[in-house]
Amino acid sequence: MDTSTVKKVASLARLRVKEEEITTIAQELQAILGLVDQLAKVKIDNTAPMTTPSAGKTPLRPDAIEANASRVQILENAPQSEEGFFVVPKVVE
Amino acid sequence: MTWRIQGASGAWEAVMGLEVHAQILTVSKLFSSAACAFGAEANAQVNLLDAALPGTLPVCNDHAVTQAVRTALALSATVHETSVFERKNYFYADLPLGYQISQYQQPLATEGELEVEGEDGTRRIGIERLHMEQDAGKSVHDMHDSASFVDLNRAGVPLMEIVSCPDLRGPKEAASYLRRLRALLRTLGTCDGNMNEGSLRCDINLSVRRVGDTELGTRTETKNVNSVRFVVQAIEREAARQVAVLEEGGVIVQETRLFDPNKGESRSMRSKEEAHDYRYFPDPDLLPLVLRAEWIEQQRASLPELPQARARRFEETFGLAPSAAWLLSEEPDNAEYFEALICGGRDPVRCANWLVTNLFSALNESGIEIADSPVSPDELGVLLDLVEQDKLSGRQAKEVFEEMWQGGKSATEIVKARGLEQISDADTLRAAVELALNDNPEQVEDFLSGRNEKVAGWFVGQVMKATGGKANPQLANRLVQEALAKRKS
Repeated sequence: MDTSTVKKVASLARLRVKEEEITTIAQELQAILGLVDQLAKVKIDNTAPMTTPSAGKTPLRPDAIEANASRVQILENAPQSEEGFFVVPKVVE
Repeated sequence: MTWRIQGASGAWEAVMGLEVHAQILTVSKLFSSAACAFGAEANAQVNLLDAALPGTLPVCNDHAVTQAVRTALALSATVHETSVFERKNYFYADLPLGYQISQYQQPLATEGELEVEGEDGTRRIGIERLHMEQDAGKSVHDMHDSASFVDLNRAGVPLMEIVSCPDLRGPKEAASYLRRLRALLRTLGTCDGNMNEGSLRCDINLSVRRVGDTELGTRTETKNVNSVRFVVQAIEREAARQVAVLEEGGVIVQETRLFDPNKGESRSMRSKEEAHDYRYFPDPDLLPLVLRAEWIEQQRASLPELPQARARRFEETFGLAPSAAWLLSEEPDNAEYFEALICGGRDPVRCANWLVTNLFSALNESGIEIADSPVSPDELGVLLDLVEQDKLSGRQAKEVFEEMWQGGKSATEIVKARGLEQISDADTLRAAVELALNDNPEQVEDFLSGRNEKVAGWFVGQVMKATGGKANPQLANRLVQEALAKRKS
């Protein structure tokens, strides 16, 4: 795990990492990857992949409308809103 | 004829795949019970989950699953009994969760196909996968100089992503793929196919290579190509751009490009590059989606007749030309109109021709959907029967149809009011023929002496004139010939 990978992962996760922390984080992530490597050695060729530790299947709901928030409530927590829209700093290609 | 791009150094071919996002027709969202109707006020259809408020959990919409399964089955795909929802992680202002719930390693369905008609005739295009996912919200950038406005009504709306294999080779083929997929979705009722409202969106993956090469070139992805016409335009432009770059010794950069329908051009979206690292992982909030095999078979057994099968039936049973058969099968409403029109035993070919040439152009000109046609199949049927019974000529029928289109009056009423009804009564016409012959002995003599046999046609004209154009021309012609022959003997 090199420092550039740490920086890339941090930027993808929108995490601000101080320059002096990077080496420590790299070592810690390396240790986690070591554990994953160890797990990867277990022979599981004949085992179906497990995506969740819970048993069972996802429950389904009927296709019906049930509003649980008004427009006012939805916008209430926004730092800024205007004409019913959330207002955010300009993000444009 | 296989599509080629002629470069300065020789011929190139394009290799393409389409990714289509189709909004699944439901009343509520994929994981929340908020409404998904188009055109609501901003943020009026947003539940707590759609705004990603803490403490909320997604619960999957069973109808969305049914709709996606039926679409997959109609595309002859394998529907998997177990599929898994995953998180596709990226940050954007209109994605409050910070991830899109999608399917990745274990999608709902794989390995389907769709028959298309393009540059190389009829070909089967592979469908790599069909999976379910939620849509993001919508950002509006032109309401303010330094701020973007976000509407979350679309956030969480159910989508099917339908990914083709890289099997497409030309713009016509790609256009046919999109058109036929849309017809299929509309027939199934699983997506309204409305490209203007964003219910159906198309991305094009395209690379080029020299004719004869077997290795694939580097591809680009052009997003936001939202009409069949733009698909053709975007493919032609992008293929030409890539060939020009390569012939100048350049390399194609794997990138996302955004199609601008106003300019008919695409431009690079550089900021998207890093975003391609989506770090998918199974969503811990959602257990696997598990479907029973018998239930899947029930869905398969209850699929409606699909457009391609219907077009084949129209060709084989009714003898329609392939183009007319397809036009009448493509839209479920077209097929319904046609079948209602012929159900009284009317001639299918004649009916089909009438619809394609007269009704469809009237609909196009006035921008009306066939379901809202001012002339119903029953009313049109009455008009066609008048033609069939030789009471109206084809030309007169068109005039009557135009008046019917304005609304309010039936064919019979218009014919009566205009005094148009064709005279097909032989006795009435025979009298008119005798009168014409008696009034013009010189012309009769011309015919009898053999000086001018074409004068028979002139007599038909006299009869038409005498009857104000209402005589059935075929019958008038026969009666003139008979009357002249009688005088000869």
